[in-house]
Amino acid sequence: MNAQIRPKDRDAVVQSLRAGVVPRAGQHLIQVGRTREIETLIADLDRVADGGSTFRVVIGEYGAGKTFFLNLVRAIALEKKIVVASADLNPDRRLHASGGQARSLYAELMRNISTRTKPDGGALPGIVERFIANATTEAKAAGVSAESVIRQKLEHLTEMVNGYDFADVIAAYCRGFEQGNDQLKADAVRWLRGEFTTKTDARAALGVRSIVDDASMYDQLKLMARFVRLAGFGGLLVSLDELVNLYKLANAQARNSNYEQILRILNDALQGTAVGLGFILGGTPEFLLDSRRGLYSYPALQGRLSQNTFATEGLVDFSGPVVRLASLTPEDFYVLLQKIRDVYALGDPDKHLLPDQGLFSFMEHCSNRLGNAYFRTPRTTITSFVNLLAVLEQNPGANWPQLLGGLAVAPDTGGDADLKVEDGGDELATFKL
Amino acid sequence: MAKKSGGGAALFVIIGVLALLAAVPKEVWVGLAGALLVGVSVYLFVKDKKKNGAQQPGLTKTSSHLEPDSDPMTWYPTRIDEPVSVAAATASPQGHKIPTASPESAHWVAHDDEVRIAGFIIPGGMFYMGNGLKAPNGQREVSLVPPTLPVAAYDVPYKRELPWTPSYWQMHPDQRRTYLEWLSGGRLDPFIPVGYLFLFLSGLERRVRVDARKDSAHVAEATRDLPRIANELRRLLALYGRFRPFVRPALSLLDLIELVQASDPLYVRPPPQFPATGHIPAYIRLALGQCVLDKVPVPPSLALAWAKTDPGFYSSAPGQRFPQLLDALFVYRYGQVFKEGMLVRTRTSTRVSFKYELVNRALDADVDATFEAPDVSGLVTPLRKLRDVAQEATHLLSPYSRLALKFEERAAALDGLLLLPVGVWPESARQSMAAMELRTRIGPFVITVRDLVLHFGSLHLLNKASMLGLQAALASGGVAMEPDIAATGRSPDIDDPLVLFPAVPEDTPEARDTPLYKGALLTLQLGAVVAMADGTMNQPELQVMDSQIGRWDVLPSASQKRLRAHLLLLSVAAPTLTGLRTRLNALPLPARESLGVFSATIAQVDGEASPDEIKVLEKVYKVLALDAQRLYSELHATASQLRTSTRPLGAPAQPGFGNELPGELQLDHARIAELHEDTNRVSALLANIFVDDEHPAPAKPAPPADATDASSAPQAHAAAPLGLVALDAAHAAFVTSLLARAQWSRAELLNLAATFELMLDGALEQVNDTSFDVHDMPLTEGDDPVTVNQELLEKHSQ
Repeated sequence: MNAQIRPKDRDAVVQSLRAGVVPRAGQHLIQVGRTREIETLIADLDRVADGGSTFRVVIGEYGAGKTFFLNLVRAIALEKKIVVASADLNPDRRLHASGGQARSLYAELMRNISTRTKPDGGALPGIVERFIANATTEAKAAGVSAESVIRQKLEHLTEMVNGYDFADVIAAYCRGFEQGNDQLKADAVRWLRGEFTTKTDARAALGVRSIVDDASMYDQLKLMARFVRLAGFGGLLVSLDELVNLYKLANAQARNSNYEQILRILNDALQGTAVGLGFILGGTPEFLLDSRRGLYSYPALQGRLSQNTFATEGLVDFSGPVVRLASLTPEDFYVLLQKIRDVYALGDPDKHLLPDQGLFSFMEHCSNRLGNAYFRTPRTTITSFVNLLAVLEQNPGANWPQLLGGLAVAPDTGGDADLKVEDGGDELATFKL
Repeated sequence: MAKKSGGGAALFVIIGVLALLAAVPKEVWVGLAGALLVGVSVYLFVKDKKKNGAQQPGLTKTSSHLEPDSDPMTWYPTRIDEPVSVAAATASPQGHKIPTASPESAHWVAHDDEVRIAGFIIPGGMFYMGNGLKAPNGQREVSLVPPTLPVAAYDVPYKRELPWTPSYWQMHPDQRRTYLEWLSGGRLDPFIPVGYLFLFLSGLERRVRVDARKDSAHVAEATRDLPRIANELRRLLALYGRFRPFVRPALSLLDLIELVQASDPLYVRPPPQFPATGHIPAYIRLALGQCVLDKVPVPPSLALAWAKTDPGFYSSAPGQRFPQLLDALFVYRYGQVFKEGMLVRTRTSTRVSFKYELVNRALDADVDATFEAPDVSGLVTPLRKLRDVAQEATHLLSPYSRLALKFEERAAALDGLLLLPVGVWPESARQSMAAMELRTRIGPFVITVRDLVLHFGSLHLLNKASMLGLQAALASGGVAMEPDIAATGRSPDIDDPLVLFPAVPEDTPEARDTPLYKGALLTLQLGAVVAMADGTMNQPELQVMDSQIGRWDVLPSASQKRLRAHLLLLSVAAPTLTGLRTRLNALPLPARESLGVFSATIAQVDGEASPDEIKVLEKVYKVLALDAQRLYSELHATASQLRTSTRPLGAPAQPGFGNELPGELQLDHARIAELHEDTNRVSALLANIFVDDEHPAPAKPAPPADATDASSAPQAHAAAPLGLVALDAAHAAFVTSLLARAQWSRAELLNLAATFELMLDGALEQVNDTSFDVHDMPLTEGDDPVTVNQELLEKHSQ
C-alpha cells in the first residue's frame, strides 16, 4: 500500500482530483476495495487480448465511481497492450442514429483511441503506421511491394462490411507515405476516423465507394479490432460512458434502436463472433432498471442482463454482463481519504500532512455541511480535501483544526442532470382541437 | 154380613194405598232409590272397616341418619311375609311357551320375564303373581295378581276408575282386564286411570320395602332390582307426571331407593336423575347439606339438580324444546360463573328430613328420618344465583332454538353447533376441535374454508354470522384464525384460505388496533405484492419478511405471532396493490419511504429483481408517491449490498415509521479493516500490472528481420540503444539518432524518420512500446515538440 509513488503519477492524480475530474492515470493509487469487480474486468481484458470478446455494463449511481472505474479499466487495458477507444455518449453521439450521431460517436472514439504509448488519444496514425511498417519490413524481406503484403494481410478483412474499402484506405496511406503524399495520408486517416460525411468526397479523395456512416459504425469497430491485432496489439476495448443519455432519449423508437444495437453487440460478444473486441459501458441504475425507458424495457435484453438466479445470499456470480458499483459508504470515503493523503505524501507515511483524526474531523465537517451527500457524491469534497492538503503542504506550520473550520465545501449537484429526460419526443403528446 | 163388610174394607184399604202410591211423583221414587243405595254402601263400608280395624298396624316412626356404616335397611319393618320367587319358563308351544304360574305359589315377576295371565302376555314383569301372598299385616297383598281370578273376557272400552287404595283381588273383572291390558301394553297407555298406577306402585313399594330388607330371603335379587325399579319410576313419572296425586308417592319411593343405594358423601358423585316435579328430593337436600357441612363448593351436576327443582327451569320455550342442551349449557355457564363451584353457607337450624308415607298401607313401613345436615332448600340467595345461571343458559340456548325452529337441518349441522359454546358440543365435534388444536401446536397452517367446515362435518358454506361463530368457537378451543373476520368485516369465500395457529389470550382486537400493528400489516402486505410479482413467494422472501417481524420488537409477541400467521396467509393469497392504495396513501412520507426501501429489498432477496418485479415496484412507488429514481437507487444499492456484503438488509426498524435518522458520524472500524484488507489486495493486483519488475522479458519481440538482417541482428542487439534489444536495425538507428537531442520538433523528426525510411508515428509507437516493455516508461513524450524522456536516460545511465 505504501510503495514508492512516482511524482509524475502523484501529480496526475492530485491535479485531476483538484480539478474535480477523474484521473486519467494513476487511478490504481487511490483505488479502494472492489477487488472482485477489478478481477472480473482484468479477466475480461485477458480474454480480449487472447482474441476473445467481452461485454460489460458497469452500473453505479452518480458519484459511485463509474468513470473512475472505467478509466482504471482503460489504464489496465493499455498496460495489457490493448488499444482503447473511449467516448462519452451525449445527444449527438449515440450507438444508433440516422442523422450522423452514430458516426459522430465513432469519430469521437477514433479521436480518443489510445495505446500505452499514447494514452491521451490520437494513436490512430501510430497504429496504422505500425501496421504498415511491419508490412513493409515483411515486403522487403520477401522482395515484394508493401501494398501487396498489406492487401494480403487485410484479405480476410474484406469479407466484412466495408472491409474491402478498409484495405484500400490502408493501402492508400501506405501509398501516400511512399509517394510523400501527405494529403493522401491525411485523407486515409480521415476516412478511418469516420470524418468523411459524403461518399463523393471519399471517392474523390481515396477512390473508395463507401464511408463510415451511422449504419456501419459497429461493423467498422469490429474491423478496427481485427486491424489493431494485425498491427501487433492485443485487441480493442471500446469504453462508453454516460449511457444514461440513451435512457434520456425521448423518442421510444430511437431508444429502442440504440438498445437493439447494444443487443447486437452483446450477442456478438457472448457468442464470440467479435474478435479481440471488448465493450464496457457505464450507466446509472435507472438506465438499466427502468422498465419503461431503461435496458429492461427492451425484452430481449432483459433475460440476457438479469442476474444468475442462483447468485443470492452472499453467493456471487460476476459472469453476468452487469457489474454493479455500490455507492460509497463513510468507511469507503475514509479509506479513500487515507489513500489520497498517502499519494500526496508519495507513499511515505512520515510525510502525511494530516493524522487519522484529521480525516475524521474533515468528514464530520463535510457531514455537517452537506449531510450524507458528502460521501455518496464525493467529487466536491475530494476537491476540498486536496485543497486542504495543498494548503497544509505549503504552510508547514499551519494548524489543521483551524483550517478545517473555514473550509468551504459545495454540494455536488451534477447528478441531477442525469435524471433529466429530453423534452419533446413522440410519447404522450398532448394536443387540443 | 159383618165378615163380608170386613173383607170389603180391606180391599178398599188396598185400593186406597195403591191409589196413593200411584199418586206419588216419579222424582220421589228416584230419590228414594238413591237413598237406599247410599245406605247399603255405607253399611258395607262400615262393616269392612270393623273387620280390618283390629289388624291395622301402628305406623313405625324411624329416624335415621345416613352414614357410611349405617344400614339403610333398618328403616324397614321387621314383620314380613316372604313370597317365594319362582323363575318363569320362557318356552312356548310355538317356540315361545309362556307358562301359567302355579296356583299355590306367589312370586315377583322379574323385569325380563314374560308371563301369561287370562290370555294376556305380559312383558317386563315387576309385579307379584300367584296366590297366597300376605302383606306384613297379614292381609292379602293388594298388588298380587292371582292368575285364577276371573277377568272380563270382552273388550272394556270404558276404563273404570279405581280407588286410590286398590287391591287386585277386590277389583271387578272389567277392571282386572283393564289392568292386565295396561301391563301387557308395556305400561304405556297414557289414559289409564290413576288408581291402576297406585296398584302397580304398591307392588314396587313392597319389593323395595319388604323384599330388599336385610333379613329377607330375597335381599340379593331385590337389591339388584332397585336400580331397575328406580328407572321404572322415572319412566312412569315422566309419562304420568300430570297425575299430581301419583307424583308425590312415586317420587318419594324413587328418592328412597336412591338414598338407600347412595354412599356418603352424596355430592362426590353426580346425583341421580329426578324428574322435575317442583319438589326437592331428600337426596338432593342431603347432598347439598353435606356440601355445607364439609364446606365444599356445590358441584355442577348437583347445582343443576338443585336448579332443576325450580319449576321455572324448563319453562322457557328453548328449555322445553331442548332440555338436555339446557342442562349442558347450565353446567357450562355454572363452571364459567363459579369456576370451582358455588360455596353455600347457612346458619339455618332446619335439618334435612325425609318422610315416606306408604301407598300400600298394609306394609306398615313408613319412614320419617332426619339427618344431621342443614336443609338449604329454603335458602333464597343460592337459588336466585342458580336461577340467574339458568337464565343465562337459556339465553345462550335461544339462538340455537330459533334456528332449529326455522331450519331444523341447519341446526343439526355446523350452523347450529356454532350457536352453542364449544363446551356443550357433542363429543365428536369436540374431538374435531381438539384435533385442530393439536395440529396448530406443530405450527400455523393454511386451510381453506371448505376444508375447515368439512373437518367439522359440514358441507355447505357458512354465512358471515356463522363464520364469526366458527372463529369464536375455534378461539375458545385454543385456535386463532387469520384473517380475523370480525376485524376485516368480510366473510371469506368457500375456497378462500385461512391460517390457523395457536391462540394466545393477549391477541385481542384491541391490542391490534394500534398504528404500529397496522403499519406492520401493511408492510407485509406490500412486501407480498412485490414478492408475488414473479408468481410465487419463495423461501428467501418469506424468511426476510419473517425475520423482519422478529425485528419489530416494539410489537407484543402475540401480535408478532398473528403477523406470522398473516404472512403465511399472504404467501398463498397476496393482496392486490389496488386494495392497499387507500391505506398507503394515508401514510406520512417517512413511513412511505421506509416501505419503499422494504419493497425494493423484498424484490431482490431471491436474486436480482426481474423486470416483472421492477414493473410492480414502479407501480408501488407511484402509489407511495415516491420518485421512481429512488426505486432504481434502492434496487441498485440493495443489489450491490447483496453482492459485496453480509450486513443485514435495510428494512424499517419500526413498522409504519421511517428508519432512524442518521445521528452523529460514526465509522464502522471492522468495515474499515475489511476495506483496508480489500484495498491491499487490489493494490497488489494492480501493482502487478502497472509496476513492472526490474528486468522483464520483452512482452512481444518485434517481428524478425529479414534473412539478410539475421546475421546483423546480434550486432543490432549489441548496438541496441538503451537496451531496447527488440528493435530492428532501422528503429535502433532511429533511436540512436533521436538520443542526440533532448527535444525535436515534429518536422525535424519526420525528416529524421524519413532518412531511415520509417513512418514517424509508427516508429515512435514501436520505439515507445519497446521502451515500455524494458523500462516501464516511454522514450519520448509529446507530439510537437517531441521530448526525449530524461528520466529514462538517467535511469539507464545508473
